[in-house]
Amino acid sequence: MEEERPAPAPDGGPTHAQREFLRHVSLIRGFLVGLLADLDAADDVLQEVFVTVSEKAAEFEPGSDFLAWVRTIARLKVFEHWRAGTRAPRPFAPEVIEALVESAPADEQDFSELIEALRQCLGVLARVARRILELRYTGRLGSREIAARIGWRPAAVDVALSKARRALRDCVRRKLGLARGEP
Amino acid sequence: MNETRFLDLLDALLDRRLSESDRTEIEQALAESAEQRRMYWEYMLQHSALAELLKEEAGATLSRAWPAARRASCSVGRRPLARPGVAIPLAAAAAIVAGVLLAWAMQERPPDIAEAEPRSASAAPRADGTSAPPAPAQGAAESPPAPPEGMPLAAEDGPPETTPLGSGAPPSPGESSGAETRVASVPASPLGVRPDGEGAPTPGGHVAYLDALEGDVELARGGSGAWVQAVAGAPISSGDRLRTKLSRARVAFESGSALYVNRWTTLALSAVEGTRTPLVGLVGGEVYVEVSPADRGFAVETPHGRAVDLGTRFAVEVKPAGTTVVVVEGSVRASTDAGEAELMANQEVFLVGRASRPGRVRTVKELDNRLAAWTAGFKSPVAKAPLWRLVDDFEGGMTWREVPGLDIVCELTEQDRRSGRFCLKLVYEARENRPKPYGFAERAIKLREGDRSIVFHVRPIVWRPDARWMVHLKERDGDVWALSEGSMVKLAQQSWSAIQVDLEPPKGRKFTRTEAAGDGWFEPSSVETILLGVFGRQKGITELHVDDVLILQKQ
Repeated sequence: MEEERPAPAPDGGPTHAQREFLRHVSLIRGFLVGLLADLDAADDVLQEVFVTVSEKAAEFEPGSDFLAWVRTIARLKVFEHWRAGTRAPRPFAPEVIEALVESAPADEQDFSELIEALRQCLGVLARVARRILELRYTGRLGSREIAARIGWRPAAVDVALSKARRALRDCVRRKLGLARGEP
Repeated sequence: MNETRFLDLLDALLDRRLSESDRTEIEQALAESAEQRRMYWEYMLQHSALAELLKEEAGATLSRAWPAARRASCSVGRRPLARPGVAIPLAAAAAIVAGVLLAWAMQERPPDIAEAEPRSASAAPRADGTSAPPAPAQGAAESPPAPPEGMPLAAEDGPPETTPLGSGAPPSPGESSGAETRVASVPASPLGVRPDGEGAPTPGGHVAYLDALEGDVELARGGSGAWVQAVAGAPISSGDRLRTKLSRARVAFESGSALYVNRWTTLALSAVEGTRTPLVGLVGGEVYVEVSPADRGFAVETPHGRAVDLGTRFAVEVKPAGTTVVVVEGSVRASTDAGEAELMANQEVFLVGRASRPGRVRTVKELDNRLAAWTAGFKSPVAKAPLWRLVDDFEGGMTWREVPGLDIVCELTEQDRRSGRFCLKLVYEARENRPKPYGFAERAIKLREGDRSIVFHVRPIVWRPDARWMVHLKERDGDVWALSEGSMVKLAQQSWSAIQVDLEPPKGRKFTRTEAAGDGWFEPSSVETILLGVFGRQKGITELHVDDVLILQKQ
């Protein structure tokens, strides 16, 4: 079946909405990760969101709030994803999901600062913690698989992951506190 | 709910070990507390950003970070691929010569490296580069126990309070750049190569390259006294000297070993007499070495003594008063003319001079953290790598044969051309017998038994998140095997990512033969073409910069 195609930009390049999407893609992905609590599912839904953004590009008015617009689309796609019965089930009850949607951060600047701080903090993370994070996030391995690779127990890997995330969180908070002039 | 408990629950959620009662608890917290919703988003955005950053860094380093390849228990086979029968860009032509020469130099390995005997279990570093396992942990969403002793996990925010080695603090970044490199007096010829280069093996064959650097790093070629600024990717030969000031460097050896060079360090590179095992003549400063199995016997010679690898990661610091040798993993023999000491993990020894026996072996703590303070965080050398580094595996870059749906004439800036970067523009369009618009490029390839995986090193330029990439192998008889596919969104936009395609089917799975009936597996020797395809839901363009492709081999 022929699929619906997005309206191209007059010059044949990406539309304004597509460019905005690419500009905010990390934050949009973060929004999806927060709702889905699953990195792979978030990547899959992100593709669907982009397709819809492309299809509806003409409806987006330049100058209006792109993030609010794209989040409406993303929220619908997330619910579609769950309805389709994928392997990543809905993590919370619908009313909790709605509360999360309402409270999701929408400041691109804050998110950029978070990424930069996180990049710096990763640079000084202990080698072993870094390695476990790489296996978890880049290799997308579970605790059991990581444990098998490095000869630890799965529970020890869980602990190490928790500690690494919290060490990064503390480091990022310190850096952002300094960056924003907080005490 | 207190913060610790809430974060425990979030970790359990992220790691898919949340129980139903945990889920109820977290739902209640999120429904009732705006503060906990804020905290939830903070943690989730960090989780998402972490995945993105690590993916980006893995992509940027995988194809050229040899130590990483070593950790994955494979060696990197850098073989030039068969020359395609098409015209190539002028810039690429110049690179062919350099690329072939480099590939030749890189492949020339002595039999002892290929046949290096395995280490003993106690001495061998873990395959993944981690150290000893931690103590048993508590239950899933329970409060995590204290980290196992000797396994530091915390990030360090700011410079370390103690120096990685010895007692003297390294100069801070704010110190004058005019300060001299710390140099100790060097005896006539204890190094196999003197700092002035005399006595070194004949230069010419590249034994290593400058894998990454931070700040201004200088090289002096052979016996030359002329220091010139080095660029990332620069080859380093026996007899060359390297020095850092307010800068750091990482040197990758063809065998997979890595040498990290701290600030204010001067060294000469050579080989242990009669072998190709690296010998570092450390004149002053500090180095940290991750030794590959092929380089057993890797030596660091200083004016005060010598440290010889027995299968390990170790660091050496030279000051005028003496040399400190410290072992992170495995073991090292530290010696002077008057005696020797064998060090195990987390031990250090001080050598005051060649005529004195090594000092008392002492236990040290938190080495990983100390070393991470200066060995971590190197930026990828990709953007600065010279032409020959980027194209050596492709005899001139990605000169894909033109096929319908493919346009190789994408726009490159002059700067791109000079840096040796090539781009691949895939135009995917609706095609007969294909359910989705599809475009692909293909490249001749020769696989061998034992090849484990192929790594494409790419950077999306025109990037459509709805697009997916696919890698196929085509056999001589024309059968095509669909090997792997993934989404473009998993490639970091505007940064280098790695597409790694395994050549062995995952356990219990078979790959699908796309253009012939049935499932099965291919014979590596019958593969002659690799295809990188991109498809999407709509007709469109995806543009990728591709620098090099590596074939990882089983060891």
